[in-house]
Amino acid sequence: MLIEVQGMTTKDTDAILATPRTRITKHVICPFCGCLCDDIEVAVTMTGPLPRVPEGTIVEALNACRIGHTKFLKVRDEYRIYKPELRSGSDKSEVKHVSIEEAVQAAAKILANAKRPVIYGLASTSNEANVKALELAEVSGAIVDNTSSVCHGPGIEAVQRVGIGTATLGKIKNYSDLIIYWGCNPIAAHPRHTRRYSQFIEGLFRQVEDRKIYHIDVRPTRFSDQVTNFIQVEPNKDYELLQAVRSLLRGHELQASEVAGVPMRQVRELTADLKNAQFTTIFFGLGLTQSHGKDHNISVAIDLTADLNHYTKAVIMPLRGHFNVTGSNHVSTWTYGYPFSVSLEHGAPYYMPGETSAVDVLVRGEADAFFAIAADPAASFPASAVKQMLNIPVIVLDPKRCVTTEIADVVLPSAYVGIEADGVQTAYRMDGIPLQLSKIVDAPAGIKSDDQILDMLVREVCKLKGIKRYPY
Amino acid sequence: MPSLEVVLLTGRTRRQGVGLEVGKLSEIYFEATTQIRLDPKDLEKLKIEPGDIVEVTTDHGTVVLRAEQAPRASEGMGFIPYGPWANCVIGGDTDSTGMPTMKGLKATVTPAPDKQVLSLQELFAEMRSAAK
Repeated sequence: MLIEVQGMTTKDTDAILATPRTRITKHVICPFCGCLCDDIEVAVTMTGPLPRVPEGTIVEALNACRIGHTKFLKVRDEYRIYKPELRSGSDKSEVKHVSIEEAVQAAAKILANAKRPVIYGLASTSNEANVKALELAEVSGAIVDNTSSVCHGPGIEAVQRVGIGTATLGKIKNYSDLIIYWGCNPIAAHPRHTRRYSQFIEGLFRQVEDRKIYHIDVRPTRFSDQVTNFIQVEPNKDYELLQAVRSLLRGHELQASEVAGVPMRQVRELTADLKNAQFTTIFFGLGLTQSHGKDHNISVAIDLTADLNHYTKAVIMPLRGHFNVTGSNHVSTWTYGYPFSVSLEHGAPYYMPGETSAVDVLVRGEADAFFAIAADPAASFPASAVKQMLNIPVIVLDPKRCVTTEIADVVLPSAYVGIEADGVQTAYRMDGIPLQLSKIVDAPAGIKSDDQILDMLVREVCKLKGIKRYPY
Repeated sequence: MPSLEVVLLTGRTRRQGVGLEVGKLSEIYFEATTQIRLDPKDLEKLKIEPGDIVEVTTDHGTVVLRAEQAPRASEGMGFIPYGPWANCVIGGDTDSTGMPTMKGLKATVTPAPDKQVLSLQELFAEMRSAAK
């Protein structure tokens, strides 16, 4: 019954996969979103290239969603950066190509001379690169923040406050009979999530038709059409709806005809379904973390899950976006005890979102250097933060041109993690399962992986600041 | 000129997702992120057609975008896909969480037939001149 699942590639791939001139790598992990789909089959051209296709080109990524497919097939295109750059001029349009050593020296000088540098990103790279980035933050005396601060950071703050009852995606697939997607659109952001882990997959104890799927969001999307029930909640009022469900669950009667724009009949129906299910899962997205209430919305959603466990089994999980944003939280937490927004300016880790988070430090005009690692803050931060980035030296470490490379002083090109990067590269799936990523093709000549470049940077900053490096 | 108060939402669309993997300097990313999706009834209230240029204003800034028809009913809401253009109307206050409020903002949409959607470089040039 795997039908009409959106986001799938529809191209006929048989011809490409059958040609003897391609090699197929199976069970490749897709380095796009937090689903880390591990069933991708990637076809790469071999000797005797296909007409007009050079050797070593990825020509197909079977099973990948449209976004993952694009990532694999667009590894070598006009937006790829092949040489390190030093950019200058008022609009950073004067580009000088330099060696990686020279670019690393320039970047190290910026970091070593800065009083409050910010190292940010780390969600679209490996745990190994994260380890090196944290070391770089230590020797630079920097604030190190990952993209979860503008993603699921409020959710993590809620977890620190009230804890969390969660499960692996495998367990949800096999056991869950009621699945709620709250404040998210998995078709757009995690196109294969429903097919691999929830709605359209047969689990050990659940058939596709056994499950009830709810979508709760402020606007209907294509996903709303494919679920059992869609509930439209008024913007900024998720908190009210969650609390109303908790009240009904505890036996209180609400004297209202609607809550947060949702008719009382629907709220009661949702509560009854939650109570009667055998295994409830709530997946939540940025609809809860980026709207009014932020961390409090997640706190109360987790509280609802805890309440439900008085009657049945219930778990909750964020739908993490970047493929290793979960890993960046894990690495930071196992190193410092804090998951993001960690200041290392004073020789000991200090954590205070709002004070040490990248957006706030920029908006207040305190950051005097910015290093974006495998992230694009100029495309995801509010304009008031980007304006400060225009006034300070910016370094970018990324395989491809992005909005931030256009305002950068130093551009360090790197290999795609999970496609080209050498050595052991690992990432955490959204449910906290660590997986080892693959190398399918070689990186362009002279292009190193993120962890290698960050290691060079640590060495260089240590040299400039006269710090004896801890022998990792 | 008519204007309309909407609740502004920003978020991911699949086309924006594909665009960011094709390249954020690509035409597909530009097309995907320089639009505001409005309900047909709201387009009617503004007396505009899909593809017309509008100005979106919040307490935090103004941006010129292309109005498009939302694929599903969403009267009173304006949806802008994530990107540098959406960020022009997002505030920098994070309520001490690190996270700016990116959904559920009050915004005003006004037709702006004599204006143009700025390119990325023009957007940065405008930010630089505003900072001076």
